[in-house]
Amino acid sequence: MPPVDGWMVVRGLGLRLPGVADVAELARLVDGAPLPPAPVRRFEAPETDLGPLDRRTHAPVPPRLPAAVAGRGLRVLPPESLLALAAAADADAAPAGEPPDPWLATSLVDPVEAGPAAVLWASSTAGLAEYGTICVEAATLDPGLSNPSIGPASAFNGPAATVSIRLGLDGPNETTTGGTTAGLSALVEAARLLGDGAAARALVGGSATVSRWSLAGLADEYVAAEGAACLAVSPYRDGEPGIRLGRFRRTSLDPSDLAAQCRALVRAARPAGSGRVAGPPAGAPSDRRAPERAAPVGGTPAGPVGTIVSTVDTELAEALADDGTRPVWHLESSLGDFGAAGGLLAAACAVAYCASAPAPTSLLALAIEPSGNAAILEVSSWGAPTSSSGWWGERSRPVGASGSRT
Amino acid sequence: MVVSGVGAVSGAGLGADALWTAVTERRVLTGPVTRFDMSRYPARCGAEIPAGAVADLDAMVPGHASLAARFLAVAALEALRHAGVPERSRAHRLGVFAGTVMATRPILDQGIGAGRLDVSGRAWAQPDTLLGTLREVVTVTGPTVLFAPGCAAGNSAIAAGARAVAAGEVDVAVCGGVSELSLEILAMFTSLRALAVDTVRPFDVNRRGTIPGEGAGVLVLERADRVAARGGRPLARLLACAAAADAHNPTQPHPDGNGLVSTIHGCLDRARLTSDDVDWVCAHGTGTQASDGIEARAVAKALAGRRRPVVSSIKGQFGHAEGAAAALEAIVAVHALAADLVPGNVTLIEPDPACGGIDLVEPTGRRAPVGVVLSQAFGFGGGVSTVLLGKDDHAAG
Repeated sequence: MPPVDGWMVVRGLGLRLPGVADVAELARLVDGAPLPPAPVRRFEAPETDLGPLDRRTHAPVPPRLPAAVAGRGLRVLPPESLLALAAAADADAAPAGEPPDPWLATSLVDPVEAGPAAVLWASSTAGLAEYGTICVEAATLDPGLSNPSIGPASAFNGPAATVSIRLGLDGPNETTTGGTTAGLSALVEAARLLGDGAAARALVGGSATVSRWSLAGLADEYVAAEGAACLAVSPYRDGEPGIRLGRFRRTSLDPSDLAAQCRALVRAARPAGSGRVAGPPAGAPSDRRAPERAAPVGGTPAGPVGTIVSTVDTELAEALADDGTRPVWHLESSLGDFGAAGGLLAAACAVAYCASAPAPTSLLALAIEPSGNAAILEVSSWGAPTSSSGWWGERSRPVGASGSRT
Repeated sequence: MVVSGVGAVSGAGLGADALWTAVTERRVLTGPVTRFDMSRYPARCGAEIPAGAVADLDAMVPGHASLAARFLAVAALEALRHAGVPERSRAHRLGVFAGTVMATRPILDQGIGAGRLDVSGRAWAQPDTLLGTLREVVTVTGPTVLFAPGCAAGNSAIAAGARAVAAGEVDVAVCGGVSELSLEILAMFTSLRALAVDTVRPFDVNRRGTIPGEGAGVLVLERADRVAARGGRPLARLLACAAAADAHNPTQPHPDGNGLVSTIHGCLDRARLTSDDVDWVCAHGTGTQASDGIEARAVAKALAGRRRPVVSSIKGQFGHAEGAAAALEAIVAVHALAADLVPGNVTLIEPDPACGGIDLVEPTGRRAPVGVVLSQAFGFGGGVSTVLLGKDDHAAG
């Protein structure tokens, strides 16, 4: 029997999102609070035949770098790297011993002494505007006249590299890209690095920025999203309070039958006999909201109370919601299209909701791509019961005792 | 964990055998770039896939705006067939773990001409389309994960595939790296003054820079018992993987090579081997002034033992294939284990005294027992990823 990936516990959550000041605001958003409508902005790419494009997107998110982050040399960093750095610094800033929020785990007495810290980041937009700029300059300038600071920033790994360099984190440094599952894959890879001892803790994030270049890679029907989120995680220890991430599953579904297979994927993530409906609403449409809004308490074996899904397939999200047994909150319909970071944002939203709801609460974070590539994980607060079986037929690791938040 | 199949697209053409033959014949495959107009550039060389090989792709895989997508698909097909794993089967859980630096972005390069940039389509902004051709020719029943951590991408993908097999997530991990020659990369390295005008000479005192290349390398990873159950013979064992970061500078390795030292120690610790057990270090060796010296010192430090570590880089022959480099080098390592042949530093003329702590293999290569190979990769951003491969007792010759 194969081993089951270990659970991770959340040590911090850093956010740089439009209209979202903190974790509680993100939780309210998941709970149905409206986000101000995104204005239409115009994007251009001069010296190209990419015409100006008007697109709904929020105002640029200011990085608001914490004072502890050294300021020298920051001006040359691309905006997405700055957003990533700010979110990661916030996530990593939870002080040892006495956390500012009761939902944060405290098992690492001294995170620096615990061992290497890994950085895993998901993005499909990082470096794209820089890549385009170099191409334009290759067409319009003499060779060698491109700004030498732009080229190295034209790959996907700028955010992960910046976080590592600026925060002095020398553990494994990985970037995932592609579709929306990339963000959840970053979490899966983090869990495995933690599980085999390659890292003692990890900063796992996702980010996106909007430019005329990046708009070509996004779905047309959503707000083009900009921002970053980062989860600081470490291995879960039995009985530790906090919010856990685990029971990962990644698979390929048949793209010709995505809705039915996704429903099966979600159903398989629920513990047997958990028919109770509670938790977050099904995104904006009020008629899909759950009739019962209070999260389960006291360790009732309710299992995940809803699903936060990241997909650019609106019909698929609606089909999942129409299943009726659990609320579904569609990331892209609310916050917008984050590209490869979508899955990570779904997990961050689930963490925020669990942090704000009475424990125990459990949600699923699901990411599905048009190709059928899919990933799902469970996010649960202290005391929340989880499924009795693991994804590959193994029993899940035991979770902490039931009870309310401390 | 074993390697059961390999596939390659390289400057030597299509196929892992072509790659290895070029290594053993000491062919230097860098030369003037033909795909782009380089006439105004001071350094005009690259390591392109031969035009004939590119034309041959038409008969092997569907078309795609990204050459890299087709390279990856062809290499994956070859690797699966080599392993004896049916590419169209739902009977096993098959996952894809691919590494890249720029994914499909080089599609944009096709619009570079005089004046405005001609941009067509959208795939250049959609990195997941890099896997589109592979999905058309291989039935993927497990996850597809695309890594873009810089030039260590191939080793990152191998490590992730190994973790997925170990975790029971997949039965078959198709792991590799891919890259397409990019004028953007050539323009970037020109502005950084990091390009050699004629030849890449890793560890040579007169090294003048690197030369970009392209290609794809794919390794199939499985549990040994699974290979044995179908009567197959492993090519090599994957002994260990380790990753770290320099946490130092976006474009310069840490002066002490901290990340590299950490990964070498990590691999040896995990495999429970010592520095004296390593028969060959397949170096990153890009031919740039700063990087090679740091790498040589780091390897000498990390592998200090009874003998100086035996080191060579194949980038003198194949250029720096970026996202594909580490995976292609891992395939060369698999062949070296099977052939008991240490590839030489083919373009090395005068070893840099600053690299004196390592045993630089002479250009002709070296016939010697090869039981363990360390293959290391790093790149812009500071990410380092190293894999340790070993001869399998039941390896196919």
